[in-house]
Amino acid sequence: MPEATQRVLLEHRFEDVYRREYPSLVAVATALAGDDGEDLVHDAMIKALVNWKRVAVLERPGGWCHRVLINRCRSSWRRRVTHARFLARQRREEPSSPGPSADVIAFWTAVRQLPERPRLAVTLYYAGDHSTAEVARILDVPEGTVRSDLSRARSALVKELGV
Amino acid sequence: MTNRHGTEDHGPVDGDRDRDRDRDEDSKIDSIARAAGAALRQPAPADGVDRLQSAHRRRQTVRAAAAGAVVAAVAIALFVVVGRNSDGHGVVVTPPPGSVDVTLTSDAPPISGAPTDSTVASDPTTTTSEPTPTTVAAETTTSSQPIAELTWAAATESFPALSYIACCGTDWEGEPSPPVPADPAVALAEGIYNAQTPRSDGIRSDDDVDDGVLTLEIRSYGRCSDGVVRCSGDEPYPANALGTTDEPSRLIDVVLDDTVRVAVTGFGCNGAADQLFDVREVGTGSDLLALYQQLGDAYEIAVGGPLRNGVAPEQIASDITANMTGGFFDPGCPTWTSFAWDPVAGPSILAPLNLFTVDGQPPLQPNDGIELESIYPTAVSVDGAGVMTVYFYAGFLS
Repeated sequence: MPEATQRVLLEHRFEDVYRREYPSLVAVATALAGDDGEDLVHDAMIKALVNWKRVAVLERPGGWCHRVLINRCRSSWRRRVTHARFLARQRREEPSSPGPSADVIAFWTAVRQLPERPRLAVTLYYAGDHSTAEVARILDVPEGTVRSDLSRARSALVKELGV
Repeated sequence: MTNRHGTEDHGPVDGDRDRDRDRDEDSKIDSIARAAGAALRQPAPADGVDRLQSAHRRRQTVRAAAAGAVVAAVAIALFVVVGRNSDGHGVVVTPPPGSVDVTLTSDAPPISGAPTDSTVASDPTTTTSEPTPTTVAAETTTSSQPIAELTWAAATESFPALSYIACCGTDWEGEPSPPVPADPAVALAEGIYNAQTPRSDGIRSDDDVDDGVLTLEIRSYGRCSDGVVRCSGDEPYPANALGTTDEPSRLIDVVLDDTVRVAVTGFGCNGAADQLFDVREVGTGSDLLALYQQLGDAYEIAVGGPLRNGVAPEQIASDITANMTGGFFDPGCPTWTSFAWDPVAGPSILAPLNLFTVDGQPPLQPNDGIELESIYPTAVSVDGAGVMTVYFYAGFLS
């Protein structure tokens, strides 16, 4: 296949994957990292774009993007703290924009207090709208572990939220 | 019955009110969770791909400019260090009050394809890949003879470039590793290999090092141009650009005793100049184990204990700034970090303790031990005599 044609196909496929995966990615990132979610998705998708020749040929490029995103979210805490310090030094406030409702914020705040694996399972399952099998593949754990994590997480959230 | 998520919808259970109640609660929380998840999903912005492509182009430009700036900065640093130390033996940095005296080698940070700027060295995406390669089962690796070094000492040799973390969207540069043998019974050949703790970016206080065994996942370094390795830089790759290969990795249980050599790149901070410098020390596995234990104990004294007693993170930060606590102190390098940790023996470590309360984030927990991640395995080398050296990179910055 001529290189130019191959390039166009790759670009098209990237756009397809981007549009298909974005709603799930942004929900997962927002659930895990709050307001930084869109930036983290942006970073993860640039990583996908840079490595697209290798990512495009994977069976599930979306799964790769989710794994990169989760790693980005894991390290976002440090950046968040740095940002907070920077803002404190600059003595200015960021412009605020309308966000999710108080109930939604309360739910995801409670989720963020779960241990890491159940937190990721809940986020990928409910925010990312993935099946338990997909969550298991992304987290590289058995599906039974995901089901068990979800069950325990739901119990913990019932208590935390007073449902 | 199975719903679209593949979870079981349980039928009624006769005479078991507790289970009925649990099911109701489960159903309620499930419904709340689904609504909370749906509220966060949004379609991709129409100009999203265009923005990504322009950001990618911008990054390439900035990276090229940054590479030039790094080379210039290193050249200036070398010039300054050489100028200050005409005897070539080292520079003594005045330590903070209460710390032990530390004589530092005057070597500039290694110049390699894997820049060591730790502000950005913790890119975790190097650990991601799909499909996940097979991992060969763990073996316990130890040689029979104790090595010469019995306690921490300043390194007299440079550490290999492949023992540092590739950062900033760049790749390692050098020669590929020998392949990792698929058969766990076959020893690693002489050479240097990438090492990580399995499924983790580093070692935390709750990881299994207390029993004196450190489990590492070993991979080969391979050429980016071969197209089968994890590389972060831009194509076309330089001929010597390296990433970690997709071949099966191997888990190795390293017994942290005197038969294993460890090499740690820590950091110091010259508060007066607001500058970081390398502190490279070598020791044994036993020394490293003691260092972990010291760090855990120090964290408990300085942070964990006070948190448990209800002291606010900000107050703990203020107390450490005022007085060295458990070896944690404020080195006064505001550009780089707010805290460092000076062990009784071993390299000093930058320890950004993140002692902040951030709205919307869970409160800091006594056992978080967040900065114990700071002693981070990077590579393993095996020499001609079969002695293993495990390299660590200590002192991530926030």
